Amino acid sequence: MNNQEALKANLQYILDNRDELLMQYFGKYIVVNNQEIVGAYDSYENAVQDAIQKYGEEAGFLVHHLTKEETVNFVVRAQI
Amino acid sequence: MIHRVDYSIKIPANKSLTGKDITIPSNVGLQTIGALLNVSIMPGKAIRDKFEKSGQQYLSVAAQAMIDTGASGSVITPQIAGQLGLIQTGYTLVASVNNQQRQPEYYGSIGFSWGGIADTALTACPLVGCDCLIGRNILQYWYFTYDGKNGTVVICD
Repeated sequence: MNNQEALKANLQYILDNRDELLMQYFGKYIVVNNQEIVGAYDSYENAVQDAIQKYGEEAGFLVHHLTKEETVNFVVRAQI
Repeated sequence: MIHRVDYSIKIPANKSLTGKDITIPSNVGLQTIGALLNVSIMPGKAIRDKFEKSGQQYLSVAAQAMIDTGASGSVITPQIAGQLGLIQTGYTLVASVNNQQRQPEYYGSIGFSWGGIADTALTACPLVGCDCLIGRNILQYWYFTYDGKNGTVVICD
């Protein structure tokens, strides 16, 4: 599995298990590696730094802020 | 530390339509161009530390960043993310006027002219009119004043 596939699989794991994960990790920055929760942190920076140290830069781990409704970044200047 | 950015614009005679030096007042400058800052985008701290330990130089890209209180997170263009080879750490839902879609999120840092560096998540998304948006994920650590009357932005980080 390449990096992009790993990231997508990790995102799908969160989407499939969102309700369960919310009960346990609400408000946390969770790290998902190989479709498994491997850490929960209070900040994005700590989550990434720890994940890089443990799994390396190429692992395809995913960091996700678990909130009740997924945050939407409203960007007026976005060309999408 | 308090940092004051002034938006008066000096147009030299050779570029001025009147053939004379012109200074556009700061309040007009700020209103016209918005709260732009010169920044440098670079890899996140953990990656920079790794480069420094091995005696290597990491890449950074100069960019014009707009302070955007409407954006929950900071944004860079996909070109900058590609140039720097930033590590993707996930996806962010981005909504524009026309559309909503997941965009890649990278681990990076934004360096400011006064020496401050913000280590943060950077969403990659094509932008109109600037290379970078400073969103509320960085603003949450600042006192930020937009003084339209005097044409200055004051940042205390």
